Amino acid sequence: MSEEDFVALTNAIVVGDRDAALAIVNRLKNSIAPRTLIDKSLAPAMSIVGKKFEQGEFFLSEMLASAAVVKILLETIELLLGKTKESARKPKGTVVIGTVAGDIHDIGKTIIASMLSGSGYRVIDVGIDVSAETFARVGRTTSSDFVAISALTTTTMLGMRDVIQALEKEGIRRQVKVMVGGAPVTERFAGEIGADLYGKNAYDAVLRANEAMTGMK
Amino acid sequence: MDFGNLETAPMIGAPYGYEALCRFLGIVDYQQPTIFSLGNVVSNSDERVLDRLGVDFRSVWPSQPQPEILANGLLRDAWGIVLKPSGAQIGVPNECCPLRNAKTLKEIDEYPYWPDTHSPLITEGIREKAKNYRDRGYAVFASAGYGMMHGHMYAFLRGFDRWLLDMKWDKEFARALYEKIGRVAIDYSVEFLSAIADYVDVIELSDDLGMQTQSLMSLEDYREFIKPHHKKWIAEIERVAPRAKIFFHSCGAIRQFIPDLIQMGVDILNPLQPLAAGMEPEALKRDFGDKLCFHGGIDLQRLLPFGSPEEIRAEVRAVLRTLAPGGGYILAPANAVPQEVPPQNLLAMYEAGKQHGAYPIEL
Repeated sequence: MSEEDFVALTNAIVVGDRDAALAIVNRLKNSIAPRTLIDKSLAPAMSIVGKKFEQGEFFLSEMLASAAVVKILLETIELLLGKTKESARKPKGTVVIGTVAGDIHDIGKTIIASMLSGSGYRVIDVGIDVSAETFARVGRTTSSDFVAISALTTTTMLGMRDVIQALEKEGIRRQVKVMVGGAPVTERFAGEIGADLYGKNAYDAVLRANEAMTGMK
Repeated sequence: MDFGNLETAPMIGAPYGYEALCRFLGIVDYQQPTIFSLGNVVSNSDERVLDRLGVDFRSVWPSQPQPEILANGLLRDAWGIVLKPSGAQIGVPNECCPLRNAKTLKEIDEYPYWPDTHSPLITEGIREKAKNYRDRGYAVFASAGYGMMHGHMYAFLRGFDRWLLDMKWDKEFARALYEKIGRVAIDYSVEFLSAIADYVDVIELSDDLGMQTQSLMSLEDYREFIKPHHKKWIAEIERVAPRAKIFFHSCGAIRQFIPDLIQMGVDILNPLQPLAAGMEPEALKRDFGDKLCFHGGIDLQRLLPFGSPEEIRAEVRAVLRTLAPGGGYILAPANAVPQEVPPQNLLAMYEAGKQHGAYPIEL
């Protein structure tokens, strides 16, 4: 891929142009190196989108479109390259992400999952209304670096404490970083429940994960 | 009806919170709550509760059948919307939305749950109810249920994510679905309101366009896809019930849409979620107070559920000082009251309203 291709792909992701992004990837399928693609297009695009969202230039609809393009691109790349080459895309880290028990909101969680994937993480999305035990079990069986929990109401966010307790019971609390986020969640709440990281929005979540991975190496 | 007086507004909320409030007030023989199928909103609050709080409004809703119970605890209501109860919440799981995978305009027309907009259920008992409320001196507030929603209906039919994505990736489909929703909403609402037009003071249009930190979509997207239908809906409602005021509900940060809402004929803005970006009461009053009446404004994300009665009373006084001068404020919680709000907190809010809220406001 040429520099122009990377720039074109980055732009297509930023504006949420699924067709343009897929056209580029399909045209260049023989020369795709997934890690390079992530580092030179997907991750920069997510960074641009995150900043535009923070600045109020992009809304949830634009962010959703960009994240959805990233998700489709990653799936397309996996298909193009076949599962045997999946190991070539060495992930930056592994994240188990889900919405807390009793809560079925998934938009923010799905956006963050896409942004983390697009930034080079292996993401296991355990879905919505996820029990504390499931978070802990999947965290253990996937040897994850992060357990990321989302909540969208002031009542369900209290269940984040249960996830932390379940991680302790599963014997993996020290091996994982717990990241929490969602509209009612605050940095103070994150501290009170013993979470390691607080992501104030999707972009911030990726930045915090990157910082933590640097510290964990 | 003099909207210049300070008046307090209907309380709606989850059945648990509502029942706790009834018992707190010593009312044990309340009727089984009738819940609007989405959101656990009580639509038959006991009048003794409303009187005790000092509420000046009474609401009229269309009737709807009980949701059908499906497998795995899911429900499907009369409009085909699939609901998932989860604790005290009722949500709409994206993957269960009935038009989620529709690709053609034909599938929109063939959707089997578009309501019969002349069903007798829509107007059953409402004329007598509205007249009774009017005769007893209350402000009559009409909510047409799903008939007052456009973006919401779109999201319930396609999923929240596809609601937003269709405006980017499938504009033709989006326009066609909005066209159909708009037509149904008008026909349903006109049927509902025609029966009570003589008695209605306030009519609600409801569409959430904002979230905590910003709007859900750009002003451009709103103007392209949703505004034309809001505009037509308002025009039709004004034709049917010309003396009624148009009340617009949207959660969240919606400042950028307000000039357009005013231009279309919205008279009352609700709920003024005060912790959402750009929705500070002082700024709203300064910028739009000469053109809009405000309804809501008492925070229920932190203050009402977690504050003390003293803090709540102080906040009521502060909001009255800000929004009441010159008229045009209806004191109310800033949305449907969640079950976590302790009854004593809600009582503190309304008692402060009664104590300080009659014009001339002296605070």
